[in-house]
Order: sequence, then C-alpha cells, then structure tokens
Amino acid sequence: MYTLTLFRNKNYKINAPSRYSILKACLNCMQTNSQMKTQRTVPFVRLLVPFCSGIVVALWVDDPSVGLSALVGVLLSYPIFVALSQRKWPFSLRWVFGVATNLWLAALGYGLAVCHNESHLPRHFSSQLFEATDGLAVVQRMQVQGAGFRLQARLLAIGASSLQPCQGRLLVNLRDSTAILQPGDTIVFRRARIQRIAAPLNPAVFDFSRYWHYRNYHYQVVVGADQWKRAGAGARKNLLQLAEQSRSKCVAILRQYLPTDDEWAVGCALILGAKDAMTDEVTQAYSRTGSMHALAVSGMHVAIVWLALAWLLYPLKFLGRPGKYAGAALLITGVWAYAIFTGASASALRAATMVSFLILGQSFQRRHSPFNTLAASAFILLCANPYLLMDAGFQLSYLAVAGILIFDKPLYLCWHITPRWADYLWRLTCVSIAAQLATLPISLYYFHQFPFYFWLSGWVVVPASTLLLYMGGALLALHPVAAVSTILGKGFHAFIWLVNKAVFAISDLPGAVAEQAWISELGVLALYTALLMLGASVLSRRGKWLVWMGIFLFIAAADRGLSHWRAVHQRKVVIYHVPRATMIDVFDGKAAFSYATLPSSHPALHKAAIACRGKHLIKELIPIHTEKGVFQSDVLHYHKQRMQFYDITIAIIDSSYRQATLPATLVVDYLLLSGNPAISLADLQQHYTIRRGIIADASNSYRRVDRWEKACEKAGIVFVDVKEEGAFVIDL
Amino acid sequence: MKKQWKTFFYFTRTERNGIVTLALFCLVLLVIPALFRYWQPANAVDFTAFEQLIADTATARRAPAAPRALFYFNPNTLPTDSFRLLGLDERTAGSIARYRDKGGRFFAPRDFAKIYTLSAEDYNRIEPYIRIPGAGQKAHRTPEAPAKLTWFDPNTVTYEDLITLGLPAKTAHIWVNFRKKGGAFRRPEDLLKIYGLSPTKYEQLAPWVRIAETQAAPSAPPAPAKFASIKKRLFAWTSTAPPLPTGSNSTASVRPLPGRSPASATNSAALPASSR
Repeated sequence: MYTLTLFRNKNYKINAPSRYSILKACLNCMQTNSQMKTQRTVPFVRLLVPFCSGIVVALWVDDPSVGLSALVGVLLSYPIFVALSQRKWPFSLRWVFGVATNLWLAALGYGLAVCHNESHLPRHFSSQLFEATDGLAVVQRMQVQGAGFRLQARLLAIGASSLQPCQGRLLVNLRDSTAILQPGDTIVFRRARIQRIAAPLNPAVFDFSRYWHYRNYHYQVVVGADQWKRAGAGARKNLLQLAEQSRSKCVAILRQYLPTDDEWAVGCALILGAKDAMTDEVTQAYSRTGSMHALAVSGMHVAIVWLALAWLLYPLKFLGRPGKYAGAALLITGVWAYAIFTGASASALRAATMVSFLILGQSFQRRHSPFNTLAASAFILLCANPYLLMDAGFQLSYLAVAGILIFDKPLYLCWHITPRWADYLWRLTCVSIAAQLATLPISLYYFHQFPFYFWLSGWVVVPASTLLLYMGGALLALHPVAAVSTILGKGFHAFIWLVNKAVFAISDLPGAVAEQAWISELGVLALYTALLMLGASVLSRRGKWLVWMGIFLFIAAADRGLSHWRAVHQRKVVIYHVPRATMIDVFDGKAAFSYATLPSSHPALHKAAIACRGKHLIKELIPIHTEKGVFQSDVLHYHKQRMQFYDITIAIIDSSYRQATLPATLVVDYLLLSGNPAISLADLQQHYTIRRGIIADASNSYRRVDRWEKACEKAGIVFVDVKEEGAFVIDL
Repeated sequence: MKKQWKTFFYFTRTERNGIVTLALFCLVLLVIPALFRYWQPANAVDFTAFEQLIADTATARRAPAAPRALFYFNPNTLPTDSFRLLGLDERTAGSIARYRDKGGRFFAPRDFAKIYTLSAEDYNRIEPYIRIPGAGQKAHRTPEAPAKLTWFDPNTVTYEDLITLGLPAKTAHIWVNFRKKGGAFRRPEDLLKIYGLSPTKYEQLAPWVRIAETQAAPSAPPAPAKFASIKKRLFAWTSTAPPLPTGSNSTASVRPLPGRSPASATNSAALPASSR
C-alpha cells in the first residue's frame, strides 16, 4: 500500500527509502515467506542432503581412523548441539544452528559409511590372510553359478594348521554341483586361496569388485569338490532365511500352474520377487521395452498389496479408535511381511517404509508432503545401510518416484480427454513418461540403452501387474481347494501368456531400443541438474528455472560433442585379456581393426571387447587376421604377425615363430608374446631390437610369464603382464 | 542472495526440537553400536572340533574307497561321474575326463593303465570290467607286439630268446631257473606259473606259445555240456558281479585268473595255441 501511494504521487518527495529499495524489500519478504513455506513442508529433504554428501565423501576418502573420529566427534558434540538448538538466536545469526546441523549430519553420514565397510573392522580376516588356507564359514545365501554354487558366507575362523577366530564376509565359489547345502549351514574348507575380488581385467567391463564392495564382500575363494565339508546345520533360521524357504515353496506351487518357462519366470518375479526362474528371453524382452520395473517388486506391487489389505481390513473401522489403530498396525505388518517375503530388495524396502509413513500419517490425520515421506524413507534406509546410496536399484527406485511426484500431475493436466478409456491411457502414459524422464541419465549410464516404446509397454504392463498380483495371491491362498485353483490357474497361465506375447511383440518392433548409448559422469550430472531445474520450474511455476535448465542441457550436449570429437581423433591399440586367446583392437577414429586368434563369433571375444568398443564409440569393425595373413589400409599394415599402425610397430610372437626365418635384426616398438611360445628373452633379443617393451598376454602360462618377467627385469626392458594387470592400452 | 542463504539455514523451534530428537535416536541406535563393534573384545572360541573335521577331510581323500559293486564299462564312453562308482577318486576321474577331452582314446585295456593317476591296485581291480568294442578281437588276432615276437616253445626257449621276446632279465632268469628245477610247461596257461610274469606280458606271449607234442597235456574230448553248467556260464556272462571260476569241464575252457571274467577266457579260447 505504501509503495502504491508512492508510485501514484510522483511529486511527493519524502525522506524515505527509494521506490526501488522498497520494491526490493517487498520482494525479499515475499520470497522469504514463500521460501520458508516451501522449506517447512520438506524438513527431511533438508536433512537428507548433508547426510548423503557425508556418505559420498566416504566413498572417496575411506579412512577408518577419520571415520571413527567423526563418529566420536558426533557423539561428544551432541550436548553442544542441544545447547545451540535451545538458545535464542538474534535474527542476523539465525543460520548458525542450521549450519551446525548440516555439519553434524555430514559427519554422521561420513562416519556411518566408513564404519559400514567391513574391511576396517579390527578382527577382519584380511590381516590374517598370510599363509591361511583353511576356514570355517556360515552360509548366508546360495545361488546357482555354472557347474556349482556361489555362496555368500560369513567367515568365523581362518588359519593354516589351527583356526583363529575372525570376522568378515566371503564369497565362496563352490565348484561342486552335488553340494547339498542350505542357508544357515556351516562349512569348512581346506587348502583354498582367499583372494581379493579382482578389478575388471578389460576396459569398461562391468566392475564386479565395486559391485561386491557395495555389498560388503571384498574377498572370494574358489573351493573344489574335495576341499570342503559340511560342518553343521544352521541352528536357528533368521527371518530372511524363513522367508526364502517359504518363497521357494511358493515358487514350486506356481510351477504346477505355469508349466511353460517364460510364463513361470514372469509369474515368479512379479508376485514373489524370485529371480531364479528368469530366462534370458524374458529379461531381454522386458528390458528392451523398459518394463523391467514390473518384474522387480517395487512401489507399484507394494501399493497394490496395501490396497488389497486395506480393503480386507475395512470392517475394523467400525470398532472406533482402537480399531483404527489396530488396523493401521496390521496394515504396516502386512506390508512389511510382503516386502521381506519377496526378498527385501531395496525398492521393496523403500516402498514399505513410504507406505508405513503414509499409513501412520493417515491414522493421525496429519498433512504430509510426499517428498518429505520419500526423503524420510531414504534417510532411514541409508542409516541402516549407507552403501545403498550407490545401489542401482535404490537410485532407480527413488528417482522414478521423485520423477512421478514432480512431473506426472502437471503433464496430465496439459491435455483433457473426455472418453474414460482414453483418459486412463493418457494417465498411464504420463506416469511412464515422468518415471522414464527421471531415470533416463542413470539408466543410460548403467545399461547403455534407451527403450523407445516404454509408454506402449506401460499400457500393457501396469494394469496387467495389478490383475496378476491379485490373481496370483488368490491362487496361492486357494491352492488347497483343487476345483477353484485349477480353473484360476488356467486363467492365470493364459493371462500371463498374453502379457508375455504383447511384450515380446513390442520388443520386436523396429526401433525399439537405442543400444550402445554411452554417457559420461559429467553428462549424467549435467542432465540431472537440468532435470532439477525443470522440476523447480514446474513446482514454482517460474520461467527463470527453465533458463538454467537450458544452460545445463547445453553443457550435457557439449560433453557429448566433446566425447565424439575425442572419438574421431582417437588412436589406440588395445590388447585385451582373453584367457587362452589373443585379441588386439586397433582404434583409428571410429573404426576398429581387430586381430583375434578365435573366430569372431566366439562369446569370450564379445564379452571382452563389446564394452570397450561401445565406450570408444566404434562404428566399424574390420578383421585383419584373415587366411591370407596380409592386410593393408592407409594407417595400418599387417603382414604375417607383424603390424605397423602409424609409427608404432608391433610383432606378435606365437608358437608358429621360427627363428631361422628372420634375416637380420628387426626394430620393433612392442613385442607381443601369445600362445605360450617356447622362447627365451635371449633368443628374442638376437633377432629383435625392442624399443618400448614386451607384452605377454593372457594366453601364456604363469611359469613362462614369470621367467620372461625376471629376464626382462635383468635386461632392463619394460615388461607388461596382461594376465595379472589386465588389458593393456597404447595411446598414440 | 545472502538473505536467501540465511533463510535456507534457518530452522523453526519445532523443527529444531525435532532434529535434536532425531539426532538422539541416531546416536543411540546407530553411532553407539557402530563404535561398540570396533572396541568389542574378542571372545575365545574353541575350534578343535572343526580342526578335526578339516584333518578328517584330508585323510578321507587318501583312504581307499569302500568296495563297490563293479560293472562292465567302456572307458571311452563312460560318463565322468560314473568313474567314481568304480571306486576311483575325483582326481583320477578328472584326469580321465581331460585325457578324453583332448582326444585320447583307449583301444585296449592296457591303454587304460596309462592314466597317470590310476594306481596299480585300482587298475587291477577294474581291468576285468573293461569292455572296449572291437578291442578283444583286435588284440588277439593281431597282437600289437614289437616285431621281435615269434613262435617259441616255453620248455626249450633260451635266456637270450626270452630277453628278445621282451621279458625283463629277472623274469627270464626265473623262467630258466624254473626249468632247471624240473618245471615243465604243458599248456599255455602254465606260463602263469612264472613268478614275475605280468598279466599283460602273459597276454602278449600266450598266442606265440608252441609246445612240443610230447609235453602237451592230453586233450580229452569235451564233456557233454550239461544244462546246469551252460546256465551257470550264461548267468556268469551277463551278471555284473565277478563270477566264480567255472569248473574245468573241458580243456577248451581256460582256467581264469583270480578276478578275471570268463568272457575274456572265452576270447582267449580262440587263441591258436589252445587248440594244441
């Protein structure tokens, strides 16, 4: 009002602050109020951010002493923290407590994450590994792997002649297909070598050491059939083991009604969260259409179960207040039982936590922000297991829900359709688009593919999951009643068959998926910041955030352009690690020349090279190891085991090498020893002058590589051992 | 801008109280247990039972396998797991599998003895049950012997001839001593009386034995085949258990070695020498 009168009477001169400063003051006030209002609805989001940053710092600086001191500091500073909270701060210092909270939470996150890493424990077996070959372990989980099992076990004792107690988790690769074991059993093994889980041996291949590190497994051991013995059965079964037992019983029951493999796989994964029956075709088809979320127990399934249970418990409402609270308690127990029964995956736990909060909120009739509930469930899960932050399932699950919360409603309101069925389809499309938008950068980073028909498969899969879940639940409940269950089982089987057919048909459509789409970390960050700006603009309905979104999109595009520019100008020679074979890739721009001693359709070659070629944006593959033994191009000359790429010469020495055939000393940059040739360094030095070094790839035996290494050390030649160190990359 | 940051870090009274309570929960439920895990004293555990189990695993590997019911088998085609049923341990079964994978084949029972990890007792125990189709006739019709094998009379063969036939010196010496002390060979099977003559060597030499008429055992006419004895022989041919030695109803039937089946005896009945 004051400002308005001032604007009207332009001649009114008063000794007052200028119009501009008053305007600024009002804007400030409005902004502060709106900021305060927004902030007050999502307290947990403000607490989650410093906590997560503490965890992220712990992934870079994993020092146990710093972590312990952080926790001790957190513990000791609590009284000060309480004092700070109760003090009446002057207005200009109102930020002090907030900063203290953020620091405190960051320290808490850091300490918890560092202490969660088992290898820092004082009695971890890594300090007793020297010469220890025997061990005693308790099996926690079993999975079929090849001709044997992979056990996730907890090591109780380790030693060489006598056993010493220790702590720690161990991956046991049991090469014995006749083993009869159950989770909870104790096993002893002897004369087995415990090793660290190795880093990947080929570039850009999936990093199993990191994957297991986030599950707190750092070591593994290979145990043959005659090296182990079952020492005892599990005394008490904990909740997870009981859940697993009942789950396998249900899987067997479902097999009776779903005799075909694909339908059984889908049925088990959808209802029970059991991935053991999964077939390759089903995995491929569902991931190509972006419907893998239906096969993992996620929020959708938990919400469906919640609705069903709420409907069943509806009569309790009539008992008044105690009935309401009893109903809430039963609902929460039911939802958690379902989450644990289906294997307690990250997405199921997240959904169960969120639903529990929602149920509590409903029974106490408090207004809640869904973001707050989401952040609270994330906080609780991360407190229990800080490494969940790096779990792909956790990230995808939370991002998808956040995306749906932000983008779904505004998008839906953009288009008003009258027929109810069309409106329903539009609703489904909006949910799919919102979820896919939020998970796009992360799924590109992890899986390198983008499904274009996710909206179409959403139409099929989302309503189908609801129906299938109800039918499956009814089937399992009515299984003893033969008459009803056979009819229901037949309908169930037919329905899953239809759904599978639809998904397979969608995945076979042209242009269903963009494969080998690689994105760098900077690209992911830029895309997520852009998404954040988009979300801010949608929530606050202001245009300025869109400008920021444009800037970050530009950064992401620039990053992609930069990686393409780098790919066009790249010159590399990659010697892969392929056991019992030799494989060399020469990258010149976006073309790759490939030399391999195995046929090009061999699966081992594909496994070793596909990720590296995808990452370096290779579009063309040219084999050079033909029958003629000669290949020539502008930049690469290959003639009978000798090749020259720009100014690098490489000679390949394998078992067909004949010393007498060489006239004089040849000058080469690199000498590649492949296929275990019976040759010594002295022989090689007679005929070759080696400028840069000798490379021994993974097709040689350990003994020979050892001998060569020692000889090269004495002669002062650089020696590269691909078998131990992994693939060797030469950058030109 | 600064004001926005200051407001960003501002918490209201209720929020402050909530944060302090949450912090208390975190401390009690997370921080104290995490610190406790680090400074927990180790409790002594007795592992002697498990150590004993480990030691037992080691000795059990080397202990001889329990006697099992043996069966006829073809070492070229028997599944790898079934070698365990014959009483062979995992290592031997593995080396047989690897030999076969690399293209190795067993043409005769003695080829099976070449498996490095197969012990002599194991080989002798299961050798009678080796059935390689086509091997029997091949081994006996054209014995794959070095060229130095020739017809000989065990009663008159000299020490040097025995060495030429491929016998070790000691066995040749024992042979000559046996003759000196008055031993005589009337049938090819009498070769087995020589201590130190291995069964494989016997098999090799038996077709080349030619005993002079004066020394040969009188060949009686074959006894009328009784139904019971035929039945017994049929039963012995088809059963999997090692058969009892059949009664010598005729000279045509060779007295089987302990542990040998009559089938190979019947094969050796096709020897040219036994007609003598």
